[in-house]
Amino acid sequence: MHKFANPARFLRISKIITPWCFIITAVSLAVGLYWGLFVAPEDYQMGSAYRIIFVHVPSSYMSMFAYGFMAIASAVGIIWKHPLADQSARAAAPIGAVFTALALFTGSLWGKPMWGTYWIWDARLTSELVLLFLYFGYMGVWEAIEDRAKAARVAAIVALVGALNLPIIKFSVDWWNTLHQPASIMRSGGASIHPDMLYPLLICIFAFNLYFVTVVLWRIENLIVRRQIRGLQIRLAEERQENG
Amino acid sequence: MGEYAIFVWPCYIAVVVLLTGLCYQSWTSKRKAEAKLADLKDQLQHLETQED
Repeated sequence: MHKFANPARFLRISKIITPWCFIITAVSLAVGLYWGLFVAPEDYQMGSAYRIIFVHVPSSYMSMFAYGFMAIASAVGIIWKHPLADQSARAAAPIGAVFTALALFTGSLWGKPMWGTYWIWDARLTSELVLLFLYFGYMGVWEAIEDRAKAARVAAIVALVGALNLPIIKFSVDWWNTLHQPASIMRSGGASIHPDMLYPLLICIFAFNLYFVTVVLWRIENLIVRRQIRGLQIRLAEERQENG
Repeated sequence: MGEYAIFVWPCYIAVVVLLTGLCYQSWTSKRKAEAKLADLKDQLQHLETQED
């Protein structure tokens, strides 16, 4: 893994991977969304309202996946002082925040016809909202502290403490009595969804995962290049001073 | 989609708009940074050749 942590080598590999990831993401997302909207059969209880599942479940899953990625990268940054670890965590935060916002938005639009309300302060919804605030807090730390090393340390602590919220989100439907339904895909005994609905859902989950990979790689590349820019600007200023 | 269209379509539109927007912002920001880096490298090279 250390080999890939070299920024120059990372940039070379990333530039090969990202175009392919982008193409596969675009195709699989288009197929998954079309299948979910127009091809998958109606649910016998929820009718077409259930079609929100094809964007809600992948968004919710990715909101937690992105935070888990951030927390692991932050731990690596604190323990091994890896040059790319803090950049990776920082790059993942806006993507995770977007997925969390989408999970909350699509969830509330699904809640209205099914529960009769856009919002209720139950454990799953509230812990997901807390996740959104954790993303905002993490990004706020990077913006508020000018010293990059100090910002990385404080942000990493925020990410690690916030990771305690992940099992709360996942198991909230089992631990407390909530309006939100329990797990129907990732559960012991296999998925409880008919294959005609499961396949487009899996394609959407795959597409959202690959989207994360593509965009996080672009954002890490951006942060590496910006760091190089800062270094060059200092060198240029020194050269100009020497030349008078 | 009947009576539920008003709930389903905004979800899909929000997903497409937000994911496309973030994707575009990430890519253009990276391209701008790369262009700036190339420009700074040129400036540095120019200064170094002037010194020689």
